[in-house]
Amino acid sequence: MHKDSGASVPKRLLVHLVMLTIGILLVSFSIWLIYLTYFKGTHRAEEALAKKAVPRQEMLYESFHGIDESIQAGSKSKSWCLKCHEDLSHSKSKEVRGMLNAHSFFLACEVCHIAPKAGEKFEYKWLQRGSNTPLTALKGQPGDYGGTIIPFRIENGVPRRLDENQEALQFLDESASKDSDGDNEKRKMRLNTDIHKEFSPKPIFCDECHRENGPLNFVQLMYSPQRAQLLTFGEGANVIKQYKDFYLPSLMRNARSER
Amino acid sequence: MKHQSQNNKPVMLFGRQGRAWTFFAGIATVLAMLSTSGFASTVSAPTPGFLNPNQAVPAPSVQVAVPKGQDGCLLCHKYPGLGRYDKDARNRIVKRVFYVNEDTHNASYHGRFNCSDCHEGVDKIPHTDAKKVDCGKTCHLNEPSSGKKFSHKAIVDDLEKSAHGAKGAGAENQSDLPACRDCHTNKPYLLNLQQQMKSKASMQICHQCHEDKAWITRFLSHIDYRLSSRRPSSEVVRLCSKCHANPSMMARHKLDVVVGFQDTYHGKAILYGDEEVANCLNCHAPYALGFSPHKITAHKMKESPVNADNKRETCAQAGCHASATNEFATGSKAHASQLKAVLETKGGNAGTDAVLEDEAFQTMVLHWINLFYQILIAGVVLGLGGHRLLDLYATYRDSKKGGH
Amino acid sequence: MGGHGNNERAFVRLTKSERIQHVILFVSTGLLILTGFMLMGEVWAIKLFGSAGKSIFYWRGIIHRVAAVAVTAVCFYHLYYVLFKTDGKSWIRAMLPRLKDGVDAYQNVMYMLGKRDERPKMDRFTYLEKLEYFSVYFGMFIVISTGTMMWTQSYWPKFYLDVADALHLGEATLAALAIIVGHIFTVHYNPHVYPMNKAFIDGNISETMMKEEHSLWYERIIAEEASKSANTAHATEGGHSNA
Repeated sequence: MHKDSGASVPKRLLVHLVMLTIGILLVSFSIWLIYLTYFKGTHRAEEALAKKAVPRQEMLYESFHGIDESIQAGSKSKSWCLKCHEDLSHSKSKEVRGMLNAHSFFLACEVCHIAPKAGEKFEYKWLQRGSNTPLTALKGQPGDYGGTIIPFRIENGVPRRLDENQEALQFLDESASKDSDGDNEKRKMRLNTDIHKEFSPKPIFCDECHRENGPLNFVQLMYSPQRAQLLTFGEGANVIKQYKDFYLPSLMRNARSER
Repeated sequence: MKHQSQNNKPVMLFGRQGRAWTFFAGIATVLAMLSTSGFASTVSAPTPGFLNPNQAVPAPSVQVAVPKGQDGCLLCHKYPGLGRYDKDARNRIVKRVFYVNEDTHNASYHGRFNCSDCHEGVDKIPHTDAKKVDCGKTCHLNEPSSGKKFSHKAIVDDLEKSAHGAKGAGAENQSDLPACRDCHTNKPYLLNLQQQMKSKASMQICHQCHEDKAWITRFLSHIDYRLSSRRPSSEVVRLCSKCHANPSMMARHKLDVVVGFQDTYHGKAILYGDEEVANCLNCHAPYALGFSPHKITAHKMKESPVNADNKRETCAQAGCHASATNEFATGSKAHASQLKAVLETKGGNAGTDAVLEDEAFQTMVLHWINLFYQILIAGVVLGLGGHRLLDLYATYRDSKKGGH
Repeated sequence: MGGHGNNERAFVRLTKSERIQHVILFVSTGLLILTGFMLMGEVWAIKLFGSAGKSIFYWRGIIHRVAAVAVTAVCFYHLYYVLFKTDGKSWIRAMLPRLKDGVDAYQNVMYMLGKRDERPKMDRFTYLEKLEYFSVYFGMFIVISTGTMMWTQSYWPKFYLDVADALHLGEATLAALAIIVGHIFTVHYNPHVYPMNKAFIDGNISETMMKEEHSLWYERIIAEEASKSANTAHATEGGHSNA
């Protein structure tokens, strides 16, 4: 009747383990049943369904023309600026904000918004989204090579990201888990001034890069010679030729009002 | 409601009739028998890209040839980041994406159309006078069966008159009404035709008369898609729920909030991925009985498949509850609504409405049953559990005293 | 517990027929609970099945119905058993509630609370066992009748089906919890018999357990044996030697 007192220790342990597992399963099941009976609000499922985040696969169909995954991939990482500023952040100049946002999809903000000092030259690198390791080649579609062009400043022979401010980054990490107090606010203000002090009131404009000998060397940035050629002379010029009503001067003016 | 007479097959022991797959299997077999060689290469052949990096280098002074097919729009619209935040008709912030993936577009239902075929007023850059796309406009394409210019106008008109349209619904809150785009997107044909064409002969058979391989692919995709692919039930439920499970929107239109569907057997089965049980459309717009989702009308209308007079036939449609009685179909709501919300939004005239009175009684009965079991279960669990614990305590106490 | 050794005398607690009925009952009830509550599953859990969900749902329905037939059959057989079979008749006679059960319950609770020195002497079936046994009658009546209604749904008014559904779910929840808390944890996770009360396998109960939990029954069997001292213990209804 009763368990064999001569049973070996491992066997007895096994019995205990099995009984414990069954017991835990039964208790969990009972708790779930009690939750079902007393605590689960029924009739909420559709509401939850309607509210829940749309899965990526279905997201493809949310836009009429079928968005591909590059849209979501693009909103991650890039420059540190996007820790506070949101994706598609250009909104002021109505006519060109879309095009500016198309650029900020693969250009760090500081490419256009920080001008080099007199005689200074920045170094530009493609860094992979997410991992921030340098890209070795450009693969993919124009506008989505899986990376972001990040400018570096050479300090004492060492390249340093323009947007890098360790203290600010650390502050962001800390403040996420902390209530703000007076000291915190002061520090925030100081850091805020600090990271924005180099931002030029007048950003770089389309024609300052899309020209010969602009700040960005498209060949060095691994574009194919053909593509580099297009970026230097091509696409914008063709738009002008293609569309009689294309009014570039006002486009530029609008861009200049964008900060 | 005059339904076509349905061939009521006997209900199988476990209540299912797997007819649909045999039909599709038949189609697949026919397609397989047609198969051919050149086909695979056609499907995977890249469509001519616009200004892609591998194209010939244009000299700076020479205008780049813009492929006629795409109006040159992709010059800008190929960039994934092209977009901005905007406000919609109801002042909610929405993300608008103007990016178009060329390959996706070319493989889509509307892949043969140029941007300007649908988008009017986009000649100027920046687009300051772009018009909203009108799905009911007449296309440049000929409808092959009639030779007339093709248009979705008939469907747009149907929708207009339906419960979801500007003429069929109340005049208030029309910005809530669904546009074509809220349910339909320009999906790519995701079918793997290569897989369906098991032999390589069919494409060559087609090609004997039809010149354009891309056209043949599109034609076959269209036929195959229409024969085999309907929206998965879960997607239908999600789509309808976007509005019909939204309490504030339903209140604006004095409609029941659909909240109980997921608790029904149909809802659970759909959750598991069963495609043969009824989703919203199988009862509210059963294609099998000649209805269309674009013609959905309120249940009070005589022609509605969920009108009390028509429910039995709707439940009894082929493959479902063949022996449904009138009482089965109309005894109570097929899915629970938030009765309270109904009573409130209908202005407290529940007492004069016999249907609502019935519903209130039924809800009350079910509530009492649930309450009865809640009390009973609490009593039994606490009683038996307490007894058990007390017994363990007594056993422990005795063993401390020095055994039994 | 422990130290009883293997040479202890054993008494028959469950006959072979009763053990088979019990096995069919608990296997099918387990399957019914499992496949039934799959309908109440949380959305995230159901999503885990992925593309297999469809066939899992199909087999869930089949298994639920097969197990339902099995459990209905065993219930009806049990009715036949207690009405017409000798063992069954003695079973139901011992099972019928008596005034003493109420007294037992009161005295046992008092004992467990430490207000009495001894447990009441209980007969072949304790008050808890009787309660559990007759709860099964009540529960089976509810689930079998409502289940049959739902199986033949097309012939019933929808509101009756709603009521049937609510009763079926409520009774199933009650039964599942009563089985876990009141039966499994009481019978098998009992320190006296842990890890398992083997009575449902071999049908036997030890002399120690007899004295502890069914002393009245035990004393009666011993007394009967003494009065029939001419015969051997093997021939009596109550027990046999397992030595």
